Amino acid sequence: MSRTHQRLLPPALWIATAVLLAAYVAYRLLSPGA
Amino acid sequence: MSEAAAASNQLVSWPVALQCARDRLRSTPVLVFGSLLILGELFVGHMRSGADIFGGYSFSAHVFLLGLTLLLGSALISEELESGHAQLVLLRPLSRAAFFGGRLAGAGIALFIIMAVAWAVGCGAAWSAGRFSSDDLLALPVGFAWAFAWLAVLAAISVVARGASNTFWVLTTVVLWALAKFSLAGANLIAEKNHKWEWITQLHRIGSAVLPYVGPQDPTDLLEKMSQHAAADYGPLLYDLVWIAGAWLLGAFLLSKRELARRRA
Repeated sequence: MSRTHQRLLPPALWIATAVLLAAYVAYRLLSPGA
Repeated sequence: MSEAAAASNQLVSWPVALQCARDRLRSTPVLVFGSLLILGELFVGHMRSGADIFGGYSFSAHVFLLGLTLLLGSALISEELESGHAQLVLLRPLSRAAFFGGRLAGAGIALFIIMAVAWAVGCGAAWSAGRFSSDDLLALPVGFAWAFAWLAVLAAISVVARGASNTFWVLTTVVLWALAKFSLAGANLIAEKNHKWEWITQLHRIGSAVLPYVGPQDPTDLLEKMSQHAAADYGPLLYDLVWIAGAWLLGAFLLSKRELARRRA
């Protein structure tokens, strides 16, 4: 893989952002009184 | 997985991070603000709970932690891009995302070291005042998540802002945010007292719903609730983690775009 064709972003960053956002929304929806 | 593919999936370049942490910890303004933050912790013993180590009622913690974070994040990426150092480092088999992650993690290491000393002093002050509790141990991870979220925002802006102007943009936004919050609250109070200008009350309602989500939230109240054995709200802490990941993603994305555009030019 040449450097000019390197992946734009590591998948871990996308996955971490999506998982944390989902966790936050789930917490807000599920936690009572919040 | 091939070695090259593994390299492009790397989140943090540790040599870049350690170099950055060393540089930032040698900067005089960082050491001055760090020392002031640590000195302020001596008064934590007279306060409520672990919430006051990095937030809550501690005015000095609010001011010096914000100042320290702004200094550590100031020109974090732009100084490397403008000096040509970044381009030199990126000649090595190192992805742009790993370079961004390295700079951010380096500033984060420096922040963590200073906060850890401040936290130890704060816990010591609480201990000597006879009100140390095991909940106070959580003040470091909770406070660090909050400050690191701001650092990640500063780093992401630093990719596109010249010199130290990322600090200016963040500080201006914080000031405007506070101004909007307090002027809305004040205007609402006057409107409600006079039983007129309903649109101000509406505006205040919208502002109260939207403003807390503009930027990382203060999670330290969680520690105050824990000390009272009340239901703790983990929402702000989770929200800060979202900001860390989101700003990291945005920063790495912008750096990739910027470097590709520079090469084509």
